[in-house]
Amino acid sequence: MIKDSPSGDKDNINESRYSIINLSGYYFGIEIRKVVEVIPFPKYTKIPNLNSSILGVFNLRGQIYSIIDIRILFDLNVSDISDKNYVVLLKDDNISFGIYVDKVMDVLDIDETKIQVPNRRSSENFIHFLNGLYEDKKLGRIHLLEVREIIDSKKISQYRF
Amino acid sequence: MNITGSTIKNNTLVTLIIVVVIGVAVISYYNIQSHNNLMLKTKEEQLKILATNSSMIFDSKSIMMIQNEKDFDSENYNEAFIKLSSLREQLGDPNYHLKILRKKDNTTEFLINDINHNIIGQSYDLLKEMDDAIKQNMTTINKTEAPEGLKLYAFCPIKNKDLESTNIFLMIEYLMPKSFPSFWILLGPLGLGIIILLALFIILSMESNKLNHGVDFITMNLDRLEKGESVKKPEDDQIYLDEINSALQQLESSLSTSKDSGVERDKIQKQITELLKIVSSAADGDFTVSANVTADTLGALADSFNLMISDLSELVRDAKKAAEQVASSTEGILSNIESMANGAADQASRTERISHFAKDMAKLITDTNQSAKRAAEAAQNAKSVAERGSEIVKKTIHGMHNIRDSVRDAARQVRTLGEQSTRIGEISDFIGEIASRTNLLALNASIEAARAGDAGRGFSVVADEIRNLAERSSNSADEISKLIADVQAGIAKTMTAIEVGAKEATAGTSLVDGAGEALREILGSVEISTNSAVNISSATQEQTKFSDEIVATLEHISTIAKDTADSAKQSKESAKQLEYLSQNLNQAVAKFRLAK
Repeated sequence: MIKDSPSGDKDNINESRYSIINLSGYYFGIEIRKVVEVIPFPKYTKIPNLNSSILGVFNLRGQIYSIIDIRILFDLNVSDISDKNYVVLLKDDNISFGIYVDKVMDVLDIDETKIQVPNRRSSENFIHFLNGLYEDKKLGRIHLLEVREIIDSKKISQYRF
Repeated sequence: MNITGSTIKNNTLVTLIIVVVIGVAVISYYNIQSHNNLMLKTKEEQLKILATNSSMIFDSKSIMMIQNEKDFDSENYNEAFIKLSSLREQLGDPNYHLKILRKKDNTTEFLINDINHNIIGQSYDLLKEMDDAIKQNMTTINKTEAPEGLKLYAFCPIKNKDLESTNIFLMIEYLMPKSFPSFWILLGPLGLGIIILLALFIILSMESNKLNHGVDFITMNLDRLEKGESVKKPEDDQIYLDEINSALQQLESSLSTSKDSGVERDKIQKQITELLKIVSSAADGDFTVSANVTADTLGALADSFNLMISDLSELVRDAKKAAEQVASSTEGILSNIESMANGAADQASRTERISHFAKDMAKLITDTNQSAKRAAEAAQNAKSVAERGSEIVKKTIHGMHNIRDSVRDAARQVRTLGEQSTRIGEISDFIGEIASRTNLLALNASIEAARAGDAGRGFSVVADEIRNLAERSSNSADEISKLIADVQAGIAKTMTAIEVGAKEATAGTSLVDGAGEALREILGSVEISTNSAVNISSATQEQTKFSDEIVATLEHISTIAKDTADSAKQSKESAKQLEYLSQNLNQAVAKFRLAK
């Protein structure tokens, strides 16, 4: 999927790259610099007495990461997880964690000038987790995620120390 | 003188009788002696056979179990005892005693007695014959003189299952009843002889007295004859001299008859004339007359003549009756001959008709024969057709077998194909897996490239390109998977079709087998019908032969019938002749006049 935007030095300031994921029918964009890796859904260990949005922890090359199911956080429809699904490993300010995704779609260059600010009219419950909205010609509406908000959300942040 | 003669004779007779009596006594003594010996021999043989047969019923094994007095009530003893006592009862003679003994070193001991008395273990002599009996496995006999008479013992070993002798044996004791003492045998006939001798002597002396008396009487009569006196009749029954007496009387009578013959001659002359008259009238056919019977010699002649006349008249009466009978019988014969001639003619014509029928039948039989031959040919053809059919069926069976084999091969190949397609599916799944991995790797690479900023921009393009390819190969793999699924569905259908085909082929094979069987049965039936046709053909040939014979025989019968008719005619002639003869006879006989 070669983008039509030419790779020129001048355009660098206005464009940033997003990784597009699919989750319960919605498209979400994550800033590429916060994405560490995409891995097939791993075997994980459940931890008791945690909020249901935290699925458990898993081992990747010796490091332990937690998996967060943002569908529960965002109040989205929950379907069964299979090995066809993926985990996207994110990193923000030395905090690393994985989120469950149905599918990883693409890596897109998004013109920042075209990003719309989310407003009250947007009916979604997860509006405060968003950075903005972007209308893509092919995929339609893409919700750009603010990773920091996920970490700081009440359900997650209670386990930080 | 007379008395001395008879005395001499009597003495010789007495001597002879004494010799005979002594001889008889000696012979009868030896006879009785040999008879006794024979009796003894017979008894011995009887005893031997009895012992041999009786020993068979005992079971040596069970008798061996009997050891001492305590075994008296044992089952084995009872069984043998019952057999023994029943045997004795069957013999029904108190002179028999049966015992079972066992040999023990140099003695023997009793085991079982035939009366219910415990003698087990009582020792007894070992006789040589006992030993022989056991050693030679045969029955032996011992004779012993006892005060009460001659005792016979028979010893027979009781054989085991292999018919070998054991050390137990059956002893049968028999006391011969006492025979008559030899002294009495000698004395009996002797006494009898003496009694007979005495009786003879008395009778002879009486008879000789009578004889002397008779001789005296004859001498006296001869003297009287010499003197011309009549002979004296004997006073009492002089049996010895009857003949001489009668001869004397005849002599006396012949002397007296010659005196009165002259007076008789005239009387005889007259009588003969009378008799001649009567004879001449009888010669004329008058049988009513009869001659006068007188007491003299001519009287006998007249009597004979009368007898002859009566016989002749009887004969004439019979002849008359016979002639009448002949006349009536001849009439019957004539009518019989008439009907016989008619019958013969009828028979001839009927036989002719039958002969015609027989000829027609022969023709029909010939037709049947031809039909049978045609049937045989048709059956032969049917047989060859059936054989061809059978050949074809055999080939068909072979073909069906080939089809079945081919179907089986096809099924195997299709199964292999299915397995291979499954493998292909696995491979395409694997390719899909690889594609998805590649996709992920490309994604990660592009993420990595993006993080590298401008430096990674070119690499990002490459990564996108790789992702693109991975996506396409993933799609292709999916398509392959779909196709494989279709192929497998097709294979499954093919498999079921092949299975159906295989079943059909099997069913076809069995059907063809049935057809083969049916053809074989047809062949058998055709064989039978061929044989039947051939049989019919040969039978009809036989029939033809027979019918020819029937025709010939019928013709023969016809000629016989004609001959019979001719003969009947001749018989008629003869019968007429006979009738004529009988009439003549009647006329001839009518001449005689008969007394009623």
